[in-house]
Amino acid sequence: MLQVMKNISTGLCVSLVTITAPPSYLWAADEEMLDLELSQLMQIQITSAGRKEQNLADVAAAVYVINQEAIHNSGATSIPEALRMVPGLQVLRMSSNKWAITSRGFNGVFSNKLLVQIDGRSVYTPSYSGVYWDVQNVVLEDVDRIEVIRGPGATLWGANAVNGIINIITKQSSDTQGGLISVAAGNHEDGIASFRYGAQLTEDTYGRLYVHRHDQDSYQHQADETDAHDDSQLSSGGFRLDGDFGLQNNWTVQGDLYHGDASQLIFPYWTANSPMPSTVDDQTESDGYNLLSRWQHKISETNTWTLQAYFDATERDEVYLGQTHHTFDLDFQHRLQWANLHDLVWGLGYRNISEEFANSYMVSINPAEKTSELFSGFIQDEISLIENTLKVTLGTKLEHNDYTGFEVQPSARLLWKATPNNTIWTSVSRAVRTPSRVEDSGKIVLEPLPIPPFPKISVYGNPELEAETVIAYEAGYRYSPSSVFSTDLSFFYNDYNDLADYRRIDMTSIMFTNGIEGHSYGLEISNQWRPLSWLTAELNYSYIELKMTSLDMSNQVFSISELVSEESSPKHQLSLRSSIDLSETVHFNILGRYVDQIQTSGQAAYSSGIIVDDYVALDVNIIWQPTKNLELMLVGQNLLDSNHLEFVHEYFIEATEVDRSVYAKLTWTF
Amino acid sequence: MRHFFLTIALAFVLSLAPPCGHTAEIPSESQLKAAYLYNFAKFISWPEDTFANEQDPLVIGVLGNNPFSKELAPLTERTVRGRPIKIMQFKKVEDIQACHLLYINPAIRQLEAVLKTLHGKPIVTVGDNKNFAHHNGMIQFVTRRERLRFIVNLDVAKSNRIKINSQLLSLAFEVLETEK
Repeated sequence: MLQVMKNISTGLCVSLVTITAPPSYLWAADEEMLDLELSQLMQIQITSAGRKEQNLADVAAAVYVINQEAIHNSGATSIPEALRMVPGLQVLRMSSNKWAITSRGFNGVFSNKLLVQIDGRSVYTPSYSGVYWDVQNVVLEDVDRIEVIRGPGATLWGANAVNGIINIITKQSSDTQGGLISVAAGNHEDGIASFRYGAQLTEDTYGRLYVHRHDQDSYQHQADETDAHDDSQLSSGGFRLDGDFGLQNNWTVQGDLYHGDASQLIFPYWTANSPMPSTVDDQTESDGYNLLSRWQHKISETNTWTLQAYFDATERDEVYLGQTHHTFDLDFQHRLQWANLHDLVWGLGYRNISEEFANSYMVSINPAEKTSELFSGFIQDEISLIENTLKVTLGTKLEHNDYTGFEVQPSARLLWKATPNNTIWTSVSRAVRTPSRVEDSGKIVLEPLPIPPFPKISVYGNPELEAETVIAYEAGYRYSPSSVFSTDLSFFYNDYNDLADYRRIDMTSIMFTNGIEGHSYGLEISNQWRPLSWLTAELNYSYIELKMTSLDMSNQVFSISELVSEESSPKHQLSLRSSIDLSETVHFNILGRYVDQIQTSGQAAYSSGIIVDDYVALDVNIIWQPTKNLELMLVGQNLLDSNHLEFVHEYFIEATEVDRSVYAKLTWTF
Repeated sequence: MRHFFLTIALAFVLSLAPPCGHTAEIPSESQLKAAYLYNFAKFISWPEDTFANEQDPLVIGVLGNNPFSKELAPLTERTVRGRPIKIMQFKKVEDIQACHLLYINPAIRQLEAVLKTLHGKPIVTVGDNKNFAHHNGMIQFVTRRERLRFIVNLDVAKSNRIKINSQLLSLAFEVLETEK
C-alpha cells in the first residue's frame, strides 16, 4: 500500500514532496569551484535526481504533508500551531499550554484515537491515552516535514492509530549543516530561542546539536477575565548523527532531553476531608529524555531491512498525579519489491513499558508500579494489477497487549489511476484503541453527592474493558490537471463499537465500560492553486457528523459520553492560506480559518454544556530577508479579536480564551 | 465572516504588486563533476610512458556526448604538475588514442564491452552508471545525502598501472579491492 507509510515507518527519508534545500554556497562561476579542495567539494549539496519525488497521487489514503516551507511560512511557534493548516484536523487550544487535537472527531484533552510519532518514536502516553503537546516541542527549522494521515493506520502502526497518525520527521543532519540562531518575542510569546549547529564529523558522518527554549505567557479565563495561570517554560536540547557504511548501510542515532514547567489552575480539586472544592495553583513539572538508533541495510535496490531501537523516559508531576514512564521499543522491518508486481513489507515489534505513579486522593492508579509488554507483527503487500494504473494493497497487523490480548487490524485498499491526472482510491480497514491504565485500573474523584455527608462520586477503571474498535470505509479522488491547480477529496464512514462509556454502579461509583456504538461520516477537501510563481493559495474545507448511542439504560436519558463524542468536534471547518512573494526578499503569508461551534461537556458538572461559539481567526505574517543569512519575521496570530474560546477542558481547568498574539522573530544562519 | 473576506481581498490586492525574479542558484551537478575530474587529475599519477615529454598535455576525454563541455572549458587554462590540460571528445571507444582521464557518458551503449576494451590501458575511467566500478570502471560517482561522492576500484587501477594518491583514496566513499 502506501509508499508514504513505508517510508515513514521505516524511517527512510525518501521525500513525499521534493524539498529544495537552500544552497549552502552560491557560485558565481565555474572557476571558483575548480579552486576548491576535494573535501570541500564533498560538502556541497546538490539537488539530486536520485531523490525521487513521491507522488501523493499514488497513495490510497487521506494524506496531507506539511513541508518545511509551509511550516516556515506559517509563523507557527510549535507543532500544534503548525497542525492548524491541515485539512480535517481539529486543532483547538484549551489553554496556553494545553491542546485538544484530533482527526475525525472525539476531540478532548486526552484525544485518544490519534497516534503521534517523532522520527519513529511514539509520543502517545499509554497511561492516559493522549499526547502531552506541551512537551512535544522540536526546533521547527529542523523539521523536514509533518505527514498527517487521516483515517486508520493500524495495519502499519498498530493500536491507537484509529482515526489518524501524525508523523513528525526531522531533517537528516547532513541537511542541517552550519549554524542557526533564532530568537522571537511578543505579547504572548515571552521568548523563543533556538540554537542549532551541524557539522560533518567524518567523511561519512554528519551531526547536529540543538538547544531550545520556549516561554509562553498566560491567557485569561473566559468568565471573569482573571489570569488563567497557564504560562509555561520549556527547555530542551538534543543531537542527531547520520552516517553511512559504504553504499549498503546507513545509520542514525539521535536523542533529546527536556525540562518543562507549565502552570495550571486546577478547579475543582477535591480532598478527602472536605466536601468543598478547592483551587490549586499547580506547577506541572515534566522531564524526559530519549535515545533512538536506526540501522538500515540495503541488500539491493529492491530489498532493504531496517532495525530501530529506542528508549524513552518521561516524568510528569502534577498535583493530582505523578507519572513516570520508561519505554523500550524494538522494531524490525523488511521491504521486498518483486518484478514491479509486489511491494511487500513485513515487520516485527516489541515494546516494554514500565510505569510508576505517585497517586493522590483525586487520581490514583493501582498497582502504582507496572510493566507491560506489547508484541506485534505485520505484513502488507501492494500488488500492481495493472502497472501504474491499478493496485491493491492488502495487509494486517497482529498484536498482543497485556490489557486485551490479541488484536487483529487488517486493511484492504484499492487505487485506480484512471488517467495521469485522475486518481480514485477506496479502502476498508479495522483499527482498535486499547484501554489506558486509567481506564483499566484507575480511580478519578469527580464531585461529591449533593446530600450529607457529601460522599464523593468516583470513576473507576475496569480491568475487563475491551478495546474500542472501528471499521473505516474511505474513498478519495485526486485531480491535478496541471501544476497550477490540484484538488484532493476524501470521504469516510466510520463504524465504531465498544467505545468507552461510563456506567453508574451505585450512588457514588461510576465505572468505565464498553458502552457506546455509533458512526461518523464526513469529507475533507483540499485545493491548491499556484497561478503565478510568486502566488500560492490553498483552500481547505472539512465536514464531520457523529452519531453515538449509549447502550446503557441509565445513560439513555442524558449521556455525557454521547455528548462528548458528538459535539466536541466542529462540524464545519474552512481555511484559506496564501503565500505571496512581494519581492525577492519580502514574503507575505496569510491563514484565515473558520471553525464551527462546538459544545463541550466535561465530567465535572461545571464544565458541562458550555457552547463554544464559531469563530473566524486570522494569522498574518511578513518575512523580510535583507541578506542571505538574516531573516526578520513579524507575525500576528488570531488577529480578528482580542481573545476567543476554542475548547474547554473536560475535567478541571476553567474555560480559557486564546489571546491575540503578535511577535517578532530574528533568524541568523552561518 | 466580513473581516475574513476583507482580509482575503486585501491579500489578493497586495498580491498584484510586481514580484522580482529569483537569484539563488544551486551549483549544478555538472559543475561539481568538472571540479572532481580536475581534482582526480591532481591526485593521480600516470606511467611516464604515457607522456611524450615534460610539456605533453594531460588529456581529459569524454566518451559519447559531452554533457559538460561548458564546465570543462575553464580547465584548459589550468595545468596539472606543469602540464597543460587538453579536453577531447571521442565518439567511439576505438577513437581513443592518447587519453589519461576518461569520463564515460552514462548513455553509452554496451558499457561493459567498452570497459573491457579499456581494461589494462593506462586510462582512468570515470562513470556514473550503477555498478560502474564493479564492471571494471575505475572511479564511479555516487550520490550520498545529496552530495557527490565517488567509489574507487583499486584492482582496475593496479592493472591499468595507475597510482592513486592515498589522500584521494581516503576520501573515497568506498574502495573496492580484492584480498591480497
